[in-house]
Amino acid sequence: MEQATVLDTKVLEVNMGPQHPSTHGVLRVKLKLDGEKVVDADCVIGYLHRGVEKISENRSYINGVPYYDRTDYIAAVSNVYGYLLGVEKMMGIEVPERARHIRIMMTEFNRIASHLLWLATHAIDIGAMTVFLYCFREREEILKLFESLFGARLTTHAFRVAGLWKDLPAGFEQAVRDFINEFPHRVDEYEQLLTNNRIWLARTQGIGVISGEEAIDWGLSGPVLRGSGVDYDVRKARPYGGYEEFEFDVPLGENGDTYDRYVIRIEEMRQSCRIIQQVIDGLPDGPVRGKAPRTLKPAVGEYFSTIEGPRGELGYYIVSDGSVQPFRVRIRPPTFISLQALRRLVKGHLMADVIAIIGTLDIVLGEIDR
Amino acid sequence: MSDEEKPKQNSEAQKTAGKTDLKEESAVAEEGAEKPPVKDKPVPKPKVKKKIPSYEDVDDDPVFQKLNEKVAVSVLSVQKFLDQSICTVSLDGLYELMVDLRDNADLDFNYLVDVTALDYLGDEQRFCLVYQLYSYKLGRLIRIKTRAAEDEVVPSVSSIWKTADWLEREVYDLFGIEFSGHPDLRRILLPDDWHGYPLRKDYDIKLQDQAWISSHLKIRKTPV
Repeated sequence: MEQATVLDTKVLEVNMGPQHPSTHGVLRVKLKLDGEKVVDADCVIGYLHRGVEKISENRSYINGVPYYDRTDYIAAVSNVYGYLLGVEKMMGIEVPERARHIRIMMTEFNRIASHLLWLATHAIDIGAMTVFLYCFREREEILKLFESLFGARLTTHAFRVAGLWKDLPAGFEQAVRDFINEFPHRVDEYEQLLTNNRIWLARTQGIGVISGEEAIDWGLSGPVLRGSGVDYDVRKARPYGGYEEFEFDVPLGENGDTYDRYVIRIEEMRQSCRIIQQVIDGLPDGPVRGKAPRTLKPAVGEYFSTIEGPRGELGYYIVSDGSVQPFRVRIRPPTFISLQALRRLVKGHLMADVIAIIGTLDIVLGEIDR
Repeated sequence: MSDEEKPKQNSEAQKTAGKTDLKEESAVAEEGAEKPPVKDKPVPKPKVKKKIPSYEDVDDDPVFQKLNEKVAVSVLSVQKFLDQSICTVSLDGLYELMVDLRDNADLDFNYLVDVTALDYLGDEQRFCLVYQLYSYKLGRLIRIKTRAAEDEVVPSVSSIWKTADWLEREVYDLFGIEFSGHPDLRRILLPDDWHGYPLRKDYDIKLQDQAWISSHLKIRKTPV
């Protein structure tokens, strides 16, 4: 048997996380390291599993809604939106135009808020403290808007079947205009801090590169897919809820690295701002809630409702057996599928880059574990 | 005593769930309605006319006509529901059909959106596997369904799309459906040594793996 010497290397297994059960996102990554290089990574998830899909089978169609708020709590508005679109389609319920437009506006606000939280935490992970404070300043403004319309900041239970809970409160439109006028300048500020920052470039360029073809094979969607140059946005590919009435661009990356995904999310915030501007300029009058039966009892059937959430393609596969409770509600979580690609993305990178790559995937464990 | 009462209250709450909806809905309707309710009375007439969605058989879907003849044999039916295509195939031909859907140059379904299952408890072929596929080339979203009995093993599609790896692990974890040819079939959301499959219809919502809980969390068994 050969004697081991100090020059021999061996693969070391290191645990990353979970830090504490109450942290935002409880993820354990088992890393196999060869020195500083990552050889393999295995994700252990499920710490936040609450069985939302099981619960929704035991609740009525309306009672299930607050649970979807709590799957991806950073994008609660989008989550409820996707589910309600599916239920309304199955029931054949018409949503008034004003409510449809307000829904789009609030979903886009949610996209901005979600991207801001991502940018703040991603930057702080990499070591840029200032951006964190800047982003939370603007996110606070959006959460105040949420509170004035929905009555809650995070788990909003934003929409109701056939429309909204109530119309916009007094002064809401002005608050939106103030935000829209100011926000593009604030995005410029973030970009001043990061886009040409040498440390930022060194930490993000060429990190976690994935080609377009591979990204499709891994089933990625949202900004992670578009960072690799694949032109796919559910809002454009299969418009829902009236998105075809608004103009916006879908930013695409070239290199498929962490930097490109950053640029895309920054640009998406500007585009969301553009959509909100169009909504608020042409907001029609009228009721905000259409006619809906008191008890929802869709006919026997199924519907797969997909929307473009802030993190990618969010789907609800709703199956009805004709009773008041859904036979099955399957949530297609975008970040569950993005996290799967972590193993592929970190291979060959340094251990410090794992943090940047987890950040760039923009995961929310509440949604992954459901 | 208090422990025994609690579950009862819960089940009552579930039964009355539908009723609470009524209250909420009517309260909002009153708030939002500016017109007098008398005007709304003629509304029931168009409601009767409203078309109830149903499954329609489709014979001329270009996607399924372009399939290779060898694999097209396993297609049992092609239907449409609310403008979404649903194709039911036999379990034997599932894998070859999936390979053709992706590799056929005319179809190119290279994006596997989702894999999930349904549990029709009491049916001979208990489970229904559901695959959502998207083709960037055609811009089409289709759904492939196949039925499997409880003891049948489903061929894994993880060698066709990498996405299927975790999605099939989740189906295995929550439904207990086995996949053949899967590289790493372990539980994913629940602990590895958990017993039972929670999304099965015969798994009650209050059911838990008591042995696991008492050994790992050191919580004494609670009466269910």
